[in-house]
Amino acid sequence: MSRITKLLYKFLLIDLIKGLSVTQRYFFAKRFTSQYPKERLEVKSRVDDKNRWNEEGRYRGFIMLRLDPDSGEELCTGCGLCMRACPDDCITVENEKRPEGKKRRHKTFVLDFQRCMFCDLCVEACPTQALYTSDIYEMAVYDRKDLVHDLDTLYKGPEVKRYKK
Amino acid sequence: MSLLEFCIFYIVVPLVKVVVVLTAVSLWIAMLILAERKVIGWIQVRMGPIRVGFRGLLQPFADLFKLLAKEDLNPTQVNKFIFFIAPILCFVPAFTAFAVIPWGPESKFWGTVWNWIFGVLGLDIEIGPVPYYISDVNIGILFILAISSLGIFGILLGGWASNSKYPLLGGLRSAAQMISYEVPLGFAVVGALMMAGSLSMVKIIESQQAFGWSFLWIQPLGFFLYYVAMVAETNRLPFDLPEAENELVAGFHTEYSGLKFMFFFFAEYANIVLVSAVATTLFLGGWLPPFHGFISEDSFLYMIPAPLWFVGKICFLLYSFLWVRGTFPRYRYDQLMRLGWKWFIPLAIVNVLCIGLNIIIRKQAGWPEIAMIPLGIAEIVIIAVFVYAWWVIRGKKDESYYKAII
Repeated sequence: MSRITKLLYKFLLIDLIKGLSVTQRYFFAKRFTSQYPKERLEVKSRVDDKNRWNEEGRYRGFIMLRLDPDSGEELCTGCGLCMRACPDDCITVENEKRPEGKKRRHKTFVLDFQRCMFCDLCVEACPTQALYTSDIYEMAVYDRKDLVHDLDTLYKGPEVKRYKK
Repeated sequence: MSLLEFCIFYIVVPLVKVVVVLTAVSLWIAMLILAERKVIGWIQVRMGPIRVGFRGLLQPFADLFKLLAKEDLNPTQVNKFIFFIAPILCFVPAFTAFAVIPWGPESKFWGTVWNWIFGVLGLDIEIGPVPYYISDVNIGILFILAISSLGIFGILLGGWASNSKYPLLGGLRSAAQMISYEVPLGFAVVGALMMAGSLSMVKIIESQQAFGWSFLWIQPLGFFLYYVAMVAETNRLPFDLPEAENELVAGFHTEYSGLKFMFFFFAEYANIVLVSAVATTLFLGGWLPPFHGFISEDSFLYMIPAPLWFVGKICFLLYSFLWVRGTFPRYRYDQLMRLGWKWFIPLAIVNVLCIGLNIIIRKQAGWPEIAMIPLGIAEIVIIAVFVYAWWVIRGKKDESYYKAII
């Protein structure tokens, strides 16, 4: 840019007008806000409860246990690999013999979400793909005790309270 | 004139106008506060307040009730009397100055309305056309400048009486800023006054009507100087040094809360409306329709009531305030001072000189009024050439320093 052009830019306040036009453009742009309790944005996890792979999904939400999509029986064998993989030591598994078949199954499965950091290591460690990270993100509770989830909620997902305001 | 007529013409009618104007301006300020939050929100791709009332329309009233309900806190170290009186000193002048704002010309319609009211009341008096403005003082613009400068005392005293570091610094800064920018503001006003040949707000607009052009087209430089100076005068971004949030918490009103804070807040916005109204009167042709020189007298633009044009032009300026606030970052303090003293005051003086020359040349040569526009443009070019020459001469010595100036 020559010196004259620079001077003209300064005298005609071109740079300021450029800035003003940018803000004016954003003035008419679509608003970015989502009104959370009213409109809930969709998040996608990598696999769903039927173990279908989702290419775009990257979200790691509430960790859940999965039933076998074909036979409908429990996949978890209670081997405790997730318990050992967990860096925060928040999973407790005990196993027992199944009534029929050779396999064993979980007797207790307690996941303490107070300490969980959703690192996904337990899911990767699971040999039967019984664990998966779901797309549930509304896990806030009023009592810390409610963050310790056991078999009941790990299959169903947490109870989401819908507050009016 | 009987005593009854005197009472009605000089007390009742003006009082009604005062009440109407005060109410309207207060509501307007409330809406301006909402508009500011909305516009800044939209510029930042947010929504702004939407919860109270229809799309947040009642938000300012919710704020008002919140401020009214808050505890009126007096910190222990403050000078109680001055701390109490400072917000009032800030608030009263801001609203007083609206007395001479020319909202519109004399209107036969309101005269008829008044006469009808007299008829209903059974009074045997007649009133002529009633003007929209409360009063037409023959030193109107001087009155506004004097009164609005008084408001600074409120800011200064509030900063001092708080007996705390941030408010004191804010008050000091605002004092320095007001002194720096009152001068170019005054000079920019002088330019318009020389064209109008009168200090009365109504006469200024009437002279623009007679002239056929808004003064903006003849002295764009003067308007620009006035605009920047008025942004600085009202402590708005990019010149909001007295209340710079990230430096001074809230500046002069850091220690204030509740109703007293509300007074400061309202005064600030009243001042914004006021300076915009003055700019409209001086440069944008007041209550006349835009481009009034180009359209004929019986155009439909003249059918719209004059106050609506006036208010519309002010609203345009107010929007530009918000727009500028949403765009530009804050000036550094020394940059602010440099801009004021080294650029604006010389430019404003040159502007006054040029307009004087302009008027003389036109009158001596006997050219028509339209000749003032090329003359004005020629003057701006000459100023630009001089500044460029100065730039080149000084720039050879120490370029980096002068780069830092602008």
